[in-house]
Amino acid sequence: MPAATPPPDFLALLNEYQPLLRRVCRMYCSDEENRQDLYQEIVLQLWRAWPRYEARPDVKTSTWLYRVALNVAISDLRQRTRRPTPGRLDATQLPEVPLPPADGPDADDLHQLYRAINCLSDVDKAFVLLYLEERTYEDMADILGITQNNVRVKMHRVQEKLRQLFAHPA
Amino acid sequence: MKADQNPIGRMRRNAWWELGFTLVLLVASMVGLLYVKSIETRAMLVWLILISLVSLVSYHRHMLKGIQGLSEVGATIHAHIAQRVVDIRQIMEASYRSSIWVLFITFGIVLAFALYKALTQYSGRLLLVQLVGVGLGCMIAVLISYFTRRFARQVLQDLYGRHLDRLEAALRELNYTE
Repeated sequence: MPAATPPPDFLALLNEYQPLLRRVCRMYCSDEENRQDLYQEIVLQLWRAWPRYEARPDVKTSTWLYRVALNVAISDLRQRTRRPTPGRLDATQLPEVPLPPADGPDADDLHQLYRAINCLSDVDKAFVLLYLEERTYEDMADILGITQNNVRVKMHRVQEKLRQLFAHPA
Repeated sequence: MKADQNPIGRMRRNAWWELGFTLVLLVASMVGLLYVKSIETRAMLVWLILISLVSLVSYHRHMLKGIQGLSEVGATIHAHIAQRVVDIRQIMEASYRSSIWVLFITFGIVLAFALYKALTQYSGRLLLVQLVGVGLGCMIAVLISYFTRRFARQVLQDLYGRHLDRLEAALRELNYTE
């Protein structure tokens, strides 16, 4: 982190959107150590990009945050732990993923959902994340930089992939 | 996160170290040129000065520009990944070209001097032996160049290739509409 003290508005922003950033990290990293590394990297990049955004905030704050967080998560150059090859949707190869705590009858479904998500490609995970965050297609298009039509088509495809994983459990 | 744990920070730091080394080499070669009398050594020093100058205006500029591009994260995912692919390619090409050109031209100078020495200082049978030596030197240079090219490609592939493959796959996924 640069030596300069972050301005109060940046800290307030970070405080407000911390849960969102944590959710992005949880989507892309299954173990706690990597998740923490990714979170720190995202905060560092946010801090570096903040002066440019503050000077010209032509996009919504949440959109900008999603962009930075997803850009870092998808395109970072860090060594990654080995993950399943995207596209091979074999439910028997679903990895064991530590889950956020959940109780009750939905816990198994949630478990399976996270295991399935972990099997998706980085781009597909971005779609799932934005969908679970209840972003509109317009927002998703704005974050991802593709057309709304394209978002619809891809969203449909990701849902199909997840359905396929659910249909053939291990 | 500490700056040295950040891969882009590390790349930037290494690039600045390389730039510093090039500047030291440039100054040392220029100072050496003032004191050295041997024509071969002077030629090598001139060559080092040329390499350093070309590095400063080409290699280091491309490298730092590429690394700077890697730090931009506020664009849309599609634009960011597309730009990152371009930046990583730029870094890979700059590193590969500089390694290969430095090697080729260094061999060229060394062999040209060996040939010049053989032609001006030997005659008859000894000249033939010297020429055979230069010929062997050429073959060895070609072999070393060939393996160095493969090695340079392998190193760059290890450093950046897998990231590039991953990003290109992500870009294809985003572009794919059928």
